[in-house]
Amino acid sequence: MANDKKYWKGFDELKETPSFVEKRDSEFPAEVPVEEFMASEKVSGFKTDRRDFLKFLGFSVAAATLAACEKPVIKSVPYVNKPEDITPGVANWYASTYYDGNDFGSILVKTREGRPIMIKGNKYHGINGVSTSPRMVASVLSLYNEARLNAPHKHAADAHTDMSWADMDSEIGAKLTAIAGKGGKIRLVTKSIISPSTRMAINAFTTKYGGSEAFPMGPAPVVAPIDGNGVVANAAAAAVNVAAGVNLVTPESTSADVKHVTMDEVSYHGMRTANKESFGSDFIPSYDFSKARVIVSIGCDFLNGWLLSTEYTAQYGKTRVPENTWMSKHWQFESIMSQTGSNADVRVRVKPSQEGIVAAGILQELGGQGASAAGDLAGYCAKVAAELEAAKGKSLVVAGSNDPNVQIIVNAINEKLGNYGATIDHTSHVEMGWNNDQEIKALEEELTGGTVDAVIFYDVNPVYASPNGASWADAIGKCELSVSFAQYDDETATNCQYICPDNHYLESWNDFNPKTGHYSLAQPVIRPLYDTRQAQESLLVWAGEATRSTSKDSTVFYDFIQKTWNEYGYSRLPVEEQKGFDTYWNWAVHNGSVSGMGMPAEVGSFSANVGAAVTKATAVETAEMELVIYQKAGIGVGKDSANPWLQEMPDPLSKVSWDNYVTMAPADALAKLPAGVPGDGTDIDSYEEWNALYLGEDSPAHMVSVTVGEQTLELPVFPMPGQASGTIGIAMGYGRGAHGGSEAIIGKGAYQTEKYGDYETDKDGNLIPVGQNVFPLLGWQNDAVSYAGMAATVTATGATYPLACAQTHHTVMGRESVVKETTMGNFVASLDANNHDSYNPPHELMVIKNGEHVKVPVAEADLWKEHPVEHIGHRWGMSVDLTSCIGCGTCLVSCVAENNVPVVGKDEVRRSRDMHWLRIDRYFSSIDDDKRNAWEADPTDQSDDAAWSYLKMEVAEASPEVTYMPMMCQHCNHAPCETVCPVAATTHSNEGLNQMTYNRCIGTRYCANNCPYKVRRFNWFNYQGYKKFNAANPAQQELGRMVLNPDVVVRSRGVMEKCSFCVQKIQEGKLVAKKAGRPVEDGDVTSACAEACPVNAITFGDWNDTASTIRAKSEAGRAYQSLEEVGFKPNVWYQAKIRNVEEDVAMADHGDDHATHDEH
Amino acid sequence: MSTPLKGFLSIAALFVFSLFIGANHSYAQDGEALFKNNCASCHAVDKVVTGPALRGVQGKWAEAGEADMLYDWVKNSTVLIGSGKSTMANAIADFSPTDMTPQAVSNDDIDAIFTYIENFKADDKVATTDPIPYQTIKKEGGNGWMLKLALIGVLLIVVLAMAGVNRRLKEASSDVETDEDHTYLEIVKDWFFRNKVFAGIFILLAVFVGLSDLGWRAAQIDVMEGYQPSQPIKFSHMVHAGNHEIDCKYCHSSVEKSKHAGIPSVNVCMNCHLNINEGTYTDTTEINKIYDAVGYDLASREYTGESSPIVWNKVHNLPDHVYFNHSQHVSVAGVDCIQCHGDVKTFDAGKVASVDEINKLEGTVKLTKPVLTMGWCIECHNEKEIDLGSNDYYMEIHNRLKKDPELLKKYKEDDKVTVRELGGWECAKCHY
Repeated sequence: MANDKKYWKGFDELKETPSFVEKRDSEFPAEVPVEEFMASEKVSGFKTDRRDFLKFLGFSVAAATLAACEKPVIKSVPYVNKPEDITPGVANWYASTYYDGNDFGSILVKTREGRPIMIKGNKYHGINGVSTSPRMVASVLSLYNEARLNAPHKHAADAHTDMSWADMDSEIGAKLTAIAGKGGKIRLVTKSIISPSTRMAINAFTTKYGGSEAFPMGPAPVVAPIDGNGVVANAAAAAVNVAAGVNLVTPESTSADVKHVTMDEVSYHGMRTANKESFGSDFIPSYDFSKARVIVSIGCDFLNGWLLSTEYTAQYGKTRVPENTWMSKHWQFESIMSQTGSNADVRVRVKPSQEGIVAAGILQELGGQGASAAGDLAGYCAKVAAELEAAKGKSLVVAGSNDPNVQIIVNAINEKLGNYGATIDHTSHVEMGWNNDQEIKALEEELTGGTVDAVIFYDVNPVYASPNGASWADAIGKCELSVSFAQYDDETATNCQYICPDNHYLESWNDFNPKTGHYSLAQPVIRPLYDTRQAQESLLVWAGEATRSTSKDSTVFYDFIQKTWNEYGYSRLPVEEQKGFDTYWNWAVHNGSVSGMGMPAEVGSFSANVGAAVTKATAVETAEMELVIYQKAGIGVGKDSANPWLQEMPDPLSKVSWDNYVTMAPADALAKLPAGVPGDGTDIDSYEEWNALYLGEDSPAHMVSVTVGEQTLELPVFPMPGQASGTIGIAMGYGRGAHGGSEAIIGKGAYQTEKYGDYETDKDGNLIPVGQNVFPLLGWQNDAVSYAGMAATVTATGATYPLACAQTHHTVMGRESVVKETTMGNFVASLDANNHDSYNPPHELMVIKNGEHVKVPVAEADLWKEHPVEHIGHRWGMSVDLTSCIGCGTCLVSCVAENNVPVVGKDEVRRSRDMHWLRIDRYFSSIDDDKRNAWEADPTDQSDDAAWSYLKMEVAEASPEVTYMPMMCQHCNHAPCETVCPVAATTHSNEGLNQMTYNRCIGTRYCANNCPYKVRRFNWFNYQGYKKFNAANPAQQELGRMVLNPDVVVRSRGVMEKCSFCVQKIQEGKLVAKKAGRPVEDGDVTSACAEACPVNAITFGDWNDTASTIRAKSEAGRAYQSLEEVGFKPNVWYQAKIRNVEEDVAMADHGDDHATHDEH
Repeated sequence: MSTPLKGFLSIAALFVFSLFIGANHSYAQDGEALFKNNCASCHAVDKVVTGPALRGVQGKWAEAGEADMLYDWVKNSTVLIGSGKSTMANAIADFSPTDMTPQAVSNDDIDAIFTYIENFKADDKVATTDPIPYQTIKKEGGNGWMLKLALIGVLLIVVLAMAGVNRRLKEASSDVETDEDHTYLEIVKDWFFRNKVFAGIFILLAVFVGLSDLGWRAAQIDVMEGYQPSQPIKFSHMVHAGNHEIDCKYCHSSVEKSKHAGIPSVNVCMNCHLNINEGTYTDTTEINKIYDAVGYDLASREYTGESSPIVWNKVHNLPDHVYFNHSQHVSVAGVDCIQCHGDVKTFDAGKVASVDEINKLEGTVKLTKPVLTMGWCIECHNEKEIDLGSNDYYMEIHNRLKKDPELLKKYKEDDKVTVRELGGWECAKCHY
């Protein structure tokens, strides 16, 4: 009830007399006779005025400051109840599994005081070993993305509101029941589900609402028995027990039409179709690259994103060790310069439309039912066929095409070579990549037709990742009920009525069956940060299978998984193997995965109509410009586009960060772009022309518009050496989150920022995402989605755009003391002769002795005394194998995570102020390398002088060879940086480390100037606090800070930093040994990059331990030190790059193929 | 009661003993010893702890006419309950889910125990202990008298200035004319002018004192010696580590495993304080704070499930750019806690002991630089010898050194290999 009493102080107020009103309304109650007072002569004579006031003010400020001069009190809050397994200050590692629909890997997660801070491969268990991808390592940062939804969310026409889970469940449950009751259509759209328990949860859901469809997937989860040591004891016995299969829940009613549709960003439908035709079953077989001596890939990027690429990478690495005296020969036929292609021994450029021709050509040469290729390709096909023939049963041919016909031809080749049962196990099936292109198309039509009543999306984003995103967005609105399990208010979720945010995978329980006989578990390593709930739990609750507990610590899905594993795993062990479910379960969780024996699949023999396939595959229409859509190592399919670590990681090939672009052959670019110097316009024949394509701080890229069908994109051009002429490449995964308007809706890292902080916005004030979405440009060919070969029109817009390129120069400029390489034949001969001088000669200096010019080893010309690191304790060293390094960038991201390396954003990268302690230099071979070699061999012969120049050496070949060179601080024993530091902030340790002491550094940057390897990084800003980095740097966010490694200091502005050889890990490893009272054993101490390397290219260890691997590697024939001639004696050794080519093949490949005939 | 706590009950018993120092004579003295050894881990005289209070128990059994069966009960209660003969035993069994542990004692022993119990006087507990008041806590980082002096100066000047202004205002507002037209400042100036030499010396002295004070203060930046902040709970190291001789590592248990020694979590406190509900000097006020934090209801002896963490004030602070690892020093080097923390037994709240205090202690390396400064760290690293034979890790290092005889000779010049010689002065040992 309102209070209408009146309060008054006097009658004048009560009566509101005129004099009172006047007094009340005036600011001061009575006139102050200031003027009168000031007019007094005496007062006007005073000097007490402004200056005195300021004196008083200053004095009191100083006094207050003095009084407040106390140290801040630091608080310390211990646990109330300390969990038994957590010791503050000591890291715990947990086994878990990463799977996002595109990548799979068994991982180990490091937690500190309950916070996950680091991810690496699980080297003990699982199918991928240490092999991970940059995306997996960086995924720990996405956990702390503040854009994640923190509660169930409802989109209504007028208001968007957070809801409670209970309300959400009752609303959705009621709607589902109503729809099922009237016999409506319910569609559940998910990524490829490889989790047996999730599969069963979905089954429970679909059957509850009337669906009757069993999953078109592999057999029930069967886990092999184990003995105490975790060794498979009686696998065969378990396999027998599998026959029972999954007992599906009996449907309650069959009135409704409930269907589960699988949808992935990348389709393997063509492959499954081909195998169905070839073997009668739509499987994807297991590949074993480690057994292959000859690998032929036709447009297949199997080292990055293709199926179980982490497993393949590890296998591939095993075949790239020249010391075995054999090495796989890797042929790659492709259009864009892919990461896999860049590692090939021989790379042949073809247009996407020619992939079928190549496959048919090889089959023909092998005596199959193929078709001969024409022109230069015929020669390559013959050569490949001959090599394959020689390695029958030890070869492997794979194709990345989604065209079933190409895949059928490839199957025929592998069949012909006897690879099935050898390098390909078609009785063991990969369970990823289940989407059915036609089914998705049908669903899209159903949706747009408005006949679907309820649609539920689980980890799929069709509005973003399908060719017709816009029509999906409209169609979702036509449904009576639309639900998304997305963690963000993403493109699809924002069109749904309800968002039931899923947990991040590091907060979830899950199980996985990536391929027959392999089961792995994901366990939560942190309590859910937000009020989110696992999608599986939501489904089980809606299916009436479970009730949600009110707390975050719900165990609904955990119990469900345990039940599954008990029923289909443990209880199917032979009775004598059953030693209690808890033992079995704990063992499985501890290891993170179980390798058992699935029932080998029954596969028919090869019988496909190869002839028809060849006809179709070779008759693909060609276009002047064909588009290839590919995955970049960092962004992949775009699930983690907002992750700043991934955005800042330079692409392995272009070295561009924070952007998407169109890759074009340099010659094509010159022809298309206005930048071309007048000339023939199709070929780079001068440095000036090349310079026009140079992308430096002041040389922005040119914009083009790419039109495919009715869709048009505008993107900058990156001239990519090695790209097939007549093709362009655009990476998927960019352009995400545009629907957010002025909000960073999928995370701060996904949007473009201005030079001095703040987001760039368009004229309506909307944020602009990084890059453009290329999914609308996908094609459709031979009844499947196609990712390559779409006819595109490219026109220059005349505009320019700055790209942040971390490495603006392309070639090694003939500096053979930086990169050394040779052929496999030469290497084996050198190994036999125990003399490696032919490709790895010791560097000698010319000196004058006794009046004569003589050559002496570098060491003799040394000005410095030997640094005493060889006999005191340890001497830490590193070996980097350029042969096995595939340039993937996992080491780089791992280094960022381990060492709190700041993210600096695009503008700073563009100014060459990236902070990465480890960079991967990518060198293309240059046109004039051979001519220069000839000239250097005989300097007197300058007859052909005009034919080459150092300037031209900058120009990469049209079909270059690629070398990746991870470059980090070399920890020189005669470090040039140490001698110039005026404050001794960088010094040398007895253990061979070049130590950087931040608290002593005053930022003169002399050291960086003096470093020949350019590995020192200067903190130009306070990245953790300065507004410019608000969007880019995760450490500026409350949650983002949680990923920082507490053992490594966060550097402040004005100090130099660089690779420390992970000194915190060295100290930790030593301490473990000391506490155990034993010497440090080889392998105890390792750096983050060495641990992360999927192919074991990086070795770290104690050089003074004469039995160590690093010692052996440093003394190997291939070992050399970069820039040896300057005499800095680094503690990093590189192993020379060995290419498995004969000299003449390599020469013949120099731009000499069918697509372009470069004259040089 | 949660399971982990049970294991610590025997330790808890130790502290219960100390509450009963003194007490009685002859017969009862044996009883006291027996009580402490056999019963005190679960029973108190007048309080219900794990088991019931024991005073008057004998009488109750006698009342029930089962005085003799009490002996059987003590020796093996399970057998007695099993036999079903004793109504008392059955009643207790119904009441409590926990069985009493069988005791290997004779009937005489039991009599002795009960004699002690019946004669026990609760007030005896502090009679023989010197009451030490909880040490006065110094103000955090206080500037002490210097601050006061500065404040007095400020006030003086303010008073003078105000007086001056006041005087002028008075002059202006009244018709009173003063003879003096001088301000205070002018008066002072005049005085200085008249006594130039004296004033000159005074100013020089003031400048000199000021500068040297500034220098001395600058040298004290980040010197933490004597820092003893107040704490949310008046926890006394003197009582715990001193009187009761609890090992430092019992509470600071991660000191051997982790870089942090760790502030004990409240569940560690509860190992003992489940039974010890009264403090030596603070009665129940401070111990109740533990119960509040952990959510323990003393009356019902149950956990409520509602806990709130205790926010302590950190005592030993190192800058962020310093990496220090306790386990390296404690487990590997075997450094005693007193070397860096002083004789913690002699002070209540945690404080940074001064280097002088530490030097007075037996068995410490004598150092000169202030505690927690880098000078202090490396001074010790320079002095401290590494016993190469103590650890195979160092033996391996020694073996490698032997390959370079000259270097080894240099190392062994002073007959010892110090931490410094094995890299203890290198930047990246502590800064990364």
